[in-house]
Amino acid sequence: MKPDDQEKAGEGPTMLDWMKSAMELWRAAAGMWPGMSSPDQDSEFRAQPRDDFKTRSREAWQQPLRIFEMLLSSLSDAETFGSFIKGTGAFPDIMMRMFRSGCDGYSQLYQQWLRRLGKAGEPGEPYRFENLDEDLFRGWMDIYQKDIQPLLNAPQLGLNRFYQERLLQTLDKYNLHQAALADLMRLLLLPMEKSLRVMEREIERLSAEGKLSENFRDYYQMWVKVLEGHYMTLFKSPEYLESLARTLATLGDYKMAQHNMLVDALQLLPIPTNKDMDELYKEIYLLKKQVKRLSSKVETP
Amino acid sequence: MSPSRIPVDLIMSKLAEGVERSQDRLLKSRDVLTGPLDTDIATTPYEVVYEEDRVKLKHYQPTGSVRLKTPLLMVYALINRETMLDLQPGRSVVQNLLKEGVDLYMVDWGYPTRKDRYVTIDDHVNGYMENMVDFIRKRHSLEKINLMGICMGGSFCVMYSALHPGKVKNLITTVTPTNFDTDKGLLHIWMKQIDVDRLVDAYGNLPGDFLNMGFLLLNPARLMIDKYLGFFENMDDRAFVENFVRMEKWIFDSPDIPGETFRQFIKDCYQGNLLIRSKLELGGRRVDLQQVSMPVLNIYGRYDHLVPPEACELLTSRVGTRDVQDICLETGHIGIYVSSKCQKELTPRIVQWLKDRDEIQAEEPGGESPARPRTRRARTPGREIKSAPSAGKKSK
Repeated sequence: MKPDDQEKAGEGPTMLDWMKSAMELWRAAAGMWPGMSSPDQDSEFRAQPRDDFKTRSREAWQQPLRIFEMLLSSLSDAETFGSFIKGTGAFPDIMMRMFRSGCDGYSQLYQQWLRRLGKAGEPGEPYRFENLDEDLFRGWMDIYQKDIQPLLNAPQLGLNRFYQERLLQTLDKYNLHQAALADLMRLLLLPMEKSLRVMEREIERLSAEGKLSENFRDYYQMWVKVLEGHYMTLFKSPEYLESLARTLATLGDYKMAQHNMLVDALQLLPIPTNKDMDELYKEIYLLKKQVKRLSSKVETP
Repeated sequence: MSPSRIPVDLIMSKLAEGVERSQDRLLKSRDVLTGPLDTDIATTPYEVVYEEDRVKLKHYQPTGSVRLKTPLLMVYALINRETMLDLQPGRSVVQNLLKEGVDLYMVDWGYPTRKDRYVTIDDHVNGYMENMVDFIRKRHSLEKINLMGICMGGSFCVMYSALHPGKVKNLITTVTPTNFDTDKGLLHIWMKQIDVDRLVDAYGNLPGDFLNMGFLLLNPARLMIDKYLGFFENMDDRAFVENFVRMEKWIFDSPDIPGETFRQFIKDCYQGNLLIRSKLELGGRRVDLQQVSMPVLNIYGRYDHLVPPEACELLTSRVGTRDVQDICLETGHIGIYVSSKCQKELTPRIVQWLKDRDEIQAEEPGGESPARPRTRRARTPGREIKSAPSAGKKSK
């Protein structure tokens, strides 16, 4: 590269100098490995098939070095280097766009958390579980379905596409199940919160009437009864039923996806998969039925 | 509210007393919990007389001086184990029936494995049950036997009786769901919502622990908190601890349910309510309740939260016989078999009802009664077992 060209490129000299020195360093490091420094030295080495591993290792080292060297020499050209530098200038833009999308989602989630915190002080209606705080779950699901799920469901390419697809499917189903499970757990904890609120009011009432018990157990019995009542109400609410059904459905989906992924792994080992065994079991089941039917026909005079 | 009206000092002093008592209790409970405990369940001796795949048929010898001519086959549910009927001496439906002179057979469904995932309700009813009934009929040279079902096992008995009325002399159903179109029990509400196909496709068989979790969630306040607090308060009482552990052993001994059986039971019964409407089909045959022509005794618990009375009481109005009787006991789903009160009520009423419809034979001193089973070669797909009586020990 001529000095003028370097000047035109602006950032050129420093960057190129660094790349050259890095190249020198790695070439020197490769040279320190016996039999790897030059093709002349390893002509004898190549004749020994038992050292095939070394040859391949050396190749594995040298290949990226050669590619790096090629890139470096192409970058020596001022025009190419200039366009490369321009390209790297666009990189932060892409990163910013990705970051912004993540931030927007996080901001929505954060706002919902804030709204939820705002609601925390509001007294909840005892024995009522309709329209409760499900915005948080929905918010997370919106973010997940808009920004994350499409990435996991993007078409996969290449030789390993089916394996990648199954891995990403498992991740997707796992996330969906975790979200559904978290929502179910949230619902299951609500009666605890509500029963404590009811107890607070009840103790206030008893205190005002001067009927407070001295026995701690009486309060426990009262609380368990209130808690039981709240659970019974919750378990019949449409919100709970929907959440339960969703949790079980996503659990089923996740188990299936996990199983499909596991099949890939087990196929590499001499271990039959559930799919193999199920096919076998079905055949045995049908054969046994047939044998029983035929046997009873033979035995019946 | 005036703060001075809260007797904080009294509450705190009571609490302190409680803590002191708890410390004493903990010290005593150490001896109880680390000492010898009799927590065996299902100890009444029996013989396994027939086996087919994972299923066994147990036979208990009657101990009373009089004997009912017709043997009784008890069919338990696929959920949990039949050991509940023989939980401990003094709280055993099995022993009570034997004392009353009932010649008792019991189905042990075993522990289904993945290879059982394709086994359907039809295989249970028209396969295993049919073979066991045939085995008992031949063993006793009888045309018909008595049948008693528990919970889901009762539903199987109703199906069997409708399809094979010529082989059943009397039918007894206890806490048996037949009408699934009710919103009184949480199970009935929940099961309508679940996507059973996804679960069965994913799991193969429905895991027993999965069901157990569901049962605990039916009443978490009592079953996950209050119950164990009760244990903590009584764990220095050996008899209490033994009973508690026996119950825990039974409750959490939950075999998986064969996938296809579970799928069909949820879809056809809980979601389609086909049984009570005589629209259920097994092995290509319609289960017509009008074909249930033998006498029917239907027993259920008023406070049963799993199978509420609404799920049981329609049966007697839909069967084809007029000799029907409903008995509603003041208890819950399990209490009907294990509570001290119902121990004195359930078995005597069943035996009396059977005696009214069966011949009674006196035990000949030192000799075999005419109803004694004869050893015959089983002409059924399973195999007859000849072995010494043994106390029930289960292995999972």
